[in-house]
Amino acid sequence: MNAEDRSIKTIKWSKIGILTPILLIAALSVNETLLKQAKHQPSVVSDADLFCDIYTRVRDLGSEDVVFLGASRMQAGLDLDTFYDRYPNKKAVLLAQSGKGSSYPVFQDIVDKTNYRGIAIIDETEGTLSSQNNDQLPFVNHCYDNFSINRQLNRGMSTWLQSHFMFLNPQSSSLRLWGNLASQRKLPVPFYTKTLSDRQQLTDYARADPKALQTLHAGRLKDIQNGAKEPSAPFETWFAQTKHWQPLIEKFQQRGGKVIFVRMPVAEDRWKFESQIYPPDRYWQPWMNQLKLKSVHFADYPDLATFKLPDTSHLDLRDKAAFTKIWLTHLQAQLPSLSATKPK
Amino acid sequence: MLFNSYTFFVFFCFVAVGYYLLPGWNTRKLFLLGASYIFYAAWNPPFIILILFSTIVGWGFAKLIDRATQPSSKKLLLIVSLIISLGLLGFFKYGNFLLNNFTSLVNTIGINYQPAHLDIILPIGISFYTFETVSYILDVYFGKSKASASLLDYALYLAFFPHLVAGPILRADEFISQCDRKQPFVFSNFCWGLSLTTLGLFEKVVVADGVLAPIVESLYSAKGIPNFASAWGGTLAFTGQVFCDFAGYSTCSIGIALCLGFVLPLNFHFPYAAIGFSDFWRRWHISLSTWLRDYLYIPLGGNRKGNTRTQFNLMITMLLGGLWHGAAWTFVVWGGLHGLYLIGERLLTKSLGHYSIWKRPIVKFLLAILTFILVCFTWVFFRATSFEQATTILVAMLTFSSKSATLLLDGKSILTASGVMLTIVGIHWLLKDRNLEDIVAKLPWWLVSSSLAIMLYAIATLPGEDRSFIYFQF
Repeated sequence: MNAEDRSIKTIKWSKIGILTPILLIAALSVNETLLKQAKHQPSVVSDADLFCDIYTRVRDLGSEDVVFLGASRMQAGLDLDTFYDRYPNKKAVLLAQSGKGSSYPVFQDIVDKTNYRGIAIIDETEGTLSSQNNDQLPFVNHCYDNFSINRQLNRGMSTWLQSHFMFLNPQSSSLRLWGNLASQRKLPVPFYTKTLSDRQQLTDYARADPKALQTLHAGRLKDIQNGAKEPSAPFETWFAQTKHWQPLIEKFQQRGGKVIFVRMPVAEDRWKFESQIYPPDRYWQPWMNQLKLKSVHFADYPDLATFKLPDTSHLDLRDKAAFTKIWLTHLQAQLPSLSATKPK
Repeated sequence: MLFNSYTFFVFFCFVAVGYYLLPGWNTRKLFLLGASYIFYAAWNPPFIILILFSTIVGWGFAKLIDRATQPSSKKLLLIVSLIISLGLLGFFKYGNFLLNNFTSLVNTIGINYQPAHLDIILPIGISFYTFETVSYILDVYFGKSKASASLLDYALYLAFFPHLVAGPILRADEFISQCDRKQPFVFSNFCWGLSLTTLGLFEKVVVADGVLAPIVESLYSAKGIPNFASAWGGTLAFTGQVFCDFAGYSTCSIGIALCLGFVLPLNFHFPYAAIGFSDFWRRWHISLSTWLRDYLYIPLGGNRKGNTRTQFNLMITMLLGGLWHGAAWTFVVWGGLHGLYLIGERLLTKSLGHYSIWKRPIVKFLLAILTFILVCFTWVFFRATSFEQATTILVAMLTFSSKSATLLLDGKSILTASGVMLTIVGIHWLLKDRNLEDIVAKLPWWLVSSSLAIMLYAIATLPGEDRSFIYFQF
């Protein structure tokens, strides 16, 4: 067998070699122009590799640096630029995982498998504190089992490309673009969220379909409302279900780490039901007291509770910086060491 | 390193340029070998040791067998080398499976034995390079080929990166003979190689991952009882996914090798147009089915020892073929079903095959459809994570009632899966007796160029979730 058996010599390959890239570049340019016209934006794919890319930075953090844990509210609410403006000598990594419940598995891994002894700012709710949910664990395991040098390099390249080109955003795929043009004769409506390379999530409600947003708001509210009908567990039962946090927190504190828990804002109508299920003075505050922990609960600070949350729990990107500025002030008041920096 | 990754693109550009710029043939082969080890190490560097060990074992034992004069010493060397090669595969791939089954067995007879779970990582491609080692040693033992004089050629045969992790399963003489002389840069080969790679990536990234995988997951990764349409929709989607994933990998592999001047054997030849199951296995994963035929079925006696023994040999071959795909009983059942199909086909051909009706085009077409449907049933066991799930889906595929259904795929997904599969089966049927090179050679150049541009555009703009090739796990 030789290569001659497989070659096609009758075809004009040189012409194909010239025309194919021209056609490809033209098609991608048309694609990009159409997406731009419809106000789509580039967005980094928030996958396990991106998480690991950030997570590997934890081992380089010092005792004055900060890790942010939690879920989508942290990703959408925290503005890292505002953080760096305020604390230019600090490093911060955002390890919150959107839509994946409690950040306990990530905190556990940081405590058990790294020497990190800086500040951990943990966004939890009363529900996630008592949950045994391990949904954030697969990303952590991925960092040990699969995040090879090859994946690190690949992630670096794809992060750069995804930050620059709209056609690499899975929510703006050509299937959706041409499918919409063919079936509805109009360009697809862009998704209103985008992820940055540092895993911050930008939620731009101005780009969201108002009807869909209203439905989302009503749906989430209904879920919470239904939850409020059930009698909540007595504090002792709930507290017993949160026991797994205690040894970890103690271990972290013993090596010099500092922990502060935060409750990110939710919309007023949502809070009405959430506070019925878990009244903060009967759950959140006693828990913090029992574990001798500092916390910032948005409901305790009127200036944190005034932000609008159109989908009931995520801040608009225009409010991100203002919220973070106020929030950091309250965090620093509770945890003065947040302002400490390394001696130069 | 995945073919559908940015790192592979950069890697391949460096390798192709470096390879053709180097002056001597041995230097080029050495460069390719080094690149292949880097390709493998990109996944898990320590496992390079395993490939090096397999290389030394295969090459060394083949040499010793070749030199041995006494049949008994040849046999002893053969047995030792097979134990080492298959032992490695057995440990890494089947260690936990054997331990779990042994535990269940002893627990059933009342002995309380609870061993710790072995934390074994399955080295990517071990099934492929082990089979290549075994075929080489057996060929030398049976005198079909001489032991390779060059360790470099043999090492490259085993580690050549285009086929290293998911085949095709090469035969040593096919590849090593290509190492004898320098492969010059041939522009038309290079371009056709790139075109094949584009086609393979299109099958994998766009059809398998972008379009079909989400539909498959909505059935096989969900809990509940599907109705008739959902069970068929999800299973048809998997039938397309597994083909486009694996045939896509093989096409990339053949294309990349051709860019470097090497020819790898065809691994798929329009399998969903097969008329009957022996035809299916002549078209599906050809390098595995011919390996099983040559090194398992024929040594067991093939069809030379009477009807009953032939049926037994067929069944054993297919059961082990199933087990090769994964350490789970669902794979064994998948193989067993194919074994039953082959036996059934053999019996029917013997008793009814002489009628001329089978030669009519419409009957052939209907037989191809029947073959396809029966193959779809086997894929349920291949994809399902448990017998319970497989049974639930099979029952739904065989009953029209949807009263108890709790898992419903949306109409768009079912239509997409059916449409894509209809297209794939149609293409296979139309092209089943031709080869791709002949078809493309007759097309106008601008049509080839436009098709390539469309495929590249779709690959770039349809980013699905990051998924490994299905056959990497084997």
